[in-house]
Parts: sequence; C-alpha cells; structure tokens
Amino acid sequence: MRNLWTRSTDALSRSLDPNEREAVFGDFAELGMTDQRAMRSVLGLVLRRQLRLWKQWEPWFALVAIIVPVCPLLAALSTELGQGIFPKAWMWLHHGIFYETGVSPAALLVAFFIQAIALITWSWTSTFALGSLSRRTSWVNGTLFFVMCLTLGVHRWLFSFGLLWSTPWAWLLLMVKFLVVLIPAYCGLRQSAKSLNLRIRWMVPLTAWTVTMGVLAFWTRGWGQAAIDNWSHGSSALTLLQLAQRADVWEAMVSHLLTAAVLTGPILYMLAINTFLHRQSRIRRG
Amino acid sequence: MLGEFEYLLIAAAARLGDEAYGAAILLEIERSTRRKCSIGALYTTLDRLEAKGMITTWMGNPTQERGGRSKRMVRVKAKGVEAATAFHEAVSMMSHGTSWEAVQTGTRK
Repeated sequence: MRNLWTRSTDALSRSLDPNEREAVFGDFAELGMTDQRAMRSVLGLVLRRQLRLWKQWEPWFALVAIIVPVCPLLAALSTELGQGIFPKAWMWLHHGIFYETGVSPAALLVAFFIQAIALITWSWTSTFALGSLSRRTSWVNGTLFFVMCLTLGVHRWLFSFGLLWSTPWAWLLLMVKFLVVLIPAYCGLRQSAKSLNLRIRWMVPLTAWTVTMGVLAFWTRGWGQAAIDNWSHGSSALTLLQLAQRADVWEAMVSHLLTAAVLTGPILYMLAINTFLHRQSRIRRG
Repeated sequence: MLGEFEYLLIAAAARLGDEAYGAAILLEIERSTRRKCSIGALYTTLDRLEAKGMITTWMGNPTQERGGRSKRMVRVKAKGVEAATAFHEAVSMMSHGTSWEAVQTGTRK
C-alpha cells in the first residue's frame, strides 16, 4: 500500500504540467529522495507556481466576480430550499398530514423542482466560468467555492432546529446542498478542465436555459407569499396596482432582480467571451 | 542584473554542458555552495530564466535510472552567458581590493 507521503505527492503534483511532473518525478528517482522530502519539494514547487499564477488578473477576477457574490447566494438559496422541504416532509412522513402553506402539494412540488434545477444550472455555470477564467488556479478557487457554499448559512439552520440535528432528517439540508450545488459545481469544474470554452451553438441555448430557469425560480418562490396574501385578503388576489403600491413588493423585486443578475452573470460573461472569440475566428478566416 | 541563484543556475548549467538537466544542476549547486537547494526554487528559476531568454529547455529521452522518466534538459543561450558574465564582473569588481579579514576584525581604515 502506498504511504500517505506518496499519495500526497501524487495529488499535489496533478496541478503541474505533465512534462514538468515527469521531469520532477524523474529527478526524485535519480536523487533517491525520500517520500517525505519529495512531498515537501512538490509542495514548494506547487506553492511557487500558484503564487506566480496569482500575479495575473484572471484568478482575482474569478474570486471577486464569481466566488464572492455567487457563493453566499447559492448557499442561502440552497439552505432555504432545504429548510423549505424539511417541515413538509417531516409532517407528511411522521403524521400523514400536509403542512398547510396555502399552495397545493402539486404546485409545491413543481416549485421545488424548478428551484432545484435553477440552482443546479447556476452552480454548474458558475464553476464552469470559474475554471475557464483560470484553469490552473481553479483548484484553489474551486475549494473556496465548495467551502463557502457548504458552510455559509448552515449555522443558522443548526440553531433553528436544535436537537433535531441528531436525527437522520437533519442531514436533509446537507443532502440538498450536495445535490443541487456541490455536485453540479464539481461537474462544472470538471467540464472546464476538459474544454475551456463551449461551442457557440451550445452556449446560446445554455444561456437561454439559465435565464429561463432563473425567471421561473423567482416566480415560483413568490407562490407562498401570494398564497398568504390571497388568504389574508379573502378569496380575491391583490390587483397589480395594489401590489405596485406596496414597498415590500418593490424591495423583493429589486432583490430578486439583483440576485438573478449575479447568478446569471457567469454564463453571460462566458457567452460574451465566446461570441467575441467566435467573431474573431470568423474575421481571421475571412 | 541576475539574482544570486539565477547566476548559480546558469553557471552550473554552463559547466555541465550537454549534461545539464534538473537533478544534475541541483547536485552541482549543492556541491558548490554546500547548501540545500529545493526543486521548487530550481524549476521556478528555470522558468524565469527561460522567459527572459537566457536559457532554453526541452524534454530529453527517458532513462532507466529515472524510472523511465524524461529529463528537462537545459542549455545556456548567448543572452544568459552575457548576463552571467556581467554579474561575475560586477561581483569581482566589487570584491577587488576588499580585505575581508580587515573588515571582520574592524581594522579597515
């Protein structure tokens, strides 16, 4: 069985160029270096390489334009999604009754799936853009992306459910986070490692899909509030004029628009870059 | 102006000639300076010197003693020779007429 030092050296060296990796491992063999010293040497080389890469603008742009704004939103939305299904699923499975929200079970299911698909799309497109911006620093930025999406907002949930944390149900939130954010994010990073840019014929439908899912996700998020409004105002729904006069409606709309803009930003950036590259190549071809 | 380690690397590569590659340069530097040299420092300096156009590197043939892995071969270019010569001359000129024993014992006027 290979020891821990060898495995660590192998894992670290994956971020090096294949040629450099070959030369470095050959040097280790020739110098008869111990596993421990080889690991330290590779670590030193990888750190130096990373420091040099971080002198360029791309990894910083990925950090500031994607990770900082997108991760808190994905973390918050996935936590909200997990928290939303928790009481309903709990009541249904333990007591056989439906947690009354004013929205039909079918509509709730549709809203849940639309929001889940929107989160999957946003996570995938964000990490794809992250990896495309700077492939060789993507493991640092990617790790930061995963840690932020996994941890942000979890503490609130821990406190709000208190003792339930010890039950298997408590892991539902983490499961939701894994399924709708972390796994798609990993797939996005993998895809960017395979090919930095998607073809333009894929990019346009993907952008259209992301925007559509974003609109649907924010529309379905409002169903719960609409049901409460309908209930509190009797059977008649609020008119558009009445809605327009309410400050909280405007605040919610601005907040939704900003969130949608931030979450669709990465794919719009990728579309802009791909369109530019596509035009450049057409001009070159004459 | 070259840095100290850059100069050592160019000097080692020049001395090794056709046999200049990562591990050999590292051993040459360690032997001459009696200091440990890290692979990380070596390879990042090789990249820097190559970017400055002072050396050229390429992948050599795989050998048995390296577990069938290739070497990163190094050759010093004219610009590297020029820079190393300038560095050596500057150090020689600065050292010329300096009595280190006198500086150490504090008797220098």
